[in-house]
Amino acid sequence: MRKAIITAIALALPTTLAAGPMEDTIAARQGYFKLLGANIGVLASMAKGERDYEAAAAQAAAGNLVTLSNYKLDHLFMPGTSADDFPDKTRALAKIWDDLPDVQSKVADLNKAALAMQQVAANGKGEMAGALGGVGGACKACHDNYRAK
Amino acid sequence: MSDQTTRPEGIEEIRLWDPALRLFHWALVVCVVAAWGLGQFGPSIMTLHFYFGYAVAALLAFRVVWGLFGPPPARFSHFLYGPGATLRYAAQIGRRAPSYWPGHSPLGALSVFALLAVLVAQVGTGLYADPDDFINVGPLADTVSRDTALAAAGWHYRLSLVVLALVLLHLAAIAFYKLWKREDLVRPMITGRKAVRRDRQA
Repeated sequence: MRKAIITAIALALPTTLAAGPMEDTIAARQGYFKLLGANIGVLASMAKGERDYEAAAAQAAAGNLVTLSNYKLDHLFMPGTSADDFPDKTRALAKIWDDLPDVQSKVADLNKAALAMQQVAANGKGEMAGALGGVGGACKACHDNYRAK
Repeated sequence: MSDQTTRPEGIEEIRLWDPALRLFHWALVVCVVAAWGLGQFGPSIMTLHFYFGYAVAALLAFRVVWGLFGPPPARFSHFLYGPGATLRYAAQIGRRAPSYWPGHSPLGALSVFALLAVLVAQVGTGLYADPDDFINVGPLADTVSRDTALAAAGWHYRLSLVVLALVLLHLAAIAFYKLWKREDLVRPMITGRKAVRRDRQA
């Protein structure tokens, strides 16, 4: 019996160890992008007419995007948390870590697009939708290079 | 300059490819190249890529209709060969002489079916693709689950590499026929006229 318990613990140990800071970092990173998505989603669904345009809600989402794109991301990109390390958990390509400054410049582009959005988000659906292209384009620029297809 | 003098016994020039098929072919070239180039290198707002994709969809629909009801050389049944005929054709592909084949040869037919199938899949995945950027979402993406739409975007990318490979193979085959077998396959697709073996019904 005791032998069985020890065996079970020994077998479970690697999984226990694996659910450590790396996984937490990946989860936090995905949470960050989910927050981005939730706010861009508000603007995109208004632009597409899936929900009514509301200046206040659009302004709030744009403000959140500015805040989020000012966030210091470094800790979310802890080395050892790429798709090579955790293929089932993340699509973050290892080449992110080869050129972190480029990734950061793409986040800076998102920040510029978010600031532009913040300027016009409350000015009506048309102007808001016009600024959405810049925001989505910033998403795409990074996905194209740094996210597994 | 007439081919008449150099044309061997039993070979005659016929009208092979009808005008609609030729127009289809070159329109498909333009639309696929444009859609592919815009997809890989185009602006991040992919409106034009979408339009060329819709054009490809329309062209494929035409090709299916033409493959069922068009003139004989354009029909799928005309170039649907069994393994025997395909292997016999493949066995003599290295002969340094024109095939004079009246239509898509058994190997060429494989290329045609593969290209059409992959392009249908490419249009299909594109319509359902959600690349997670909120601006280039396929028009049917919200009719399927989010996971499906994300997967469609992944397949749309992978299939783009297959399209590239098939197009390069197509071009390589044309170069092979031109340079090795001394048979021009491009001119018939422009003029519609091709020198073919008389003993085979076009």
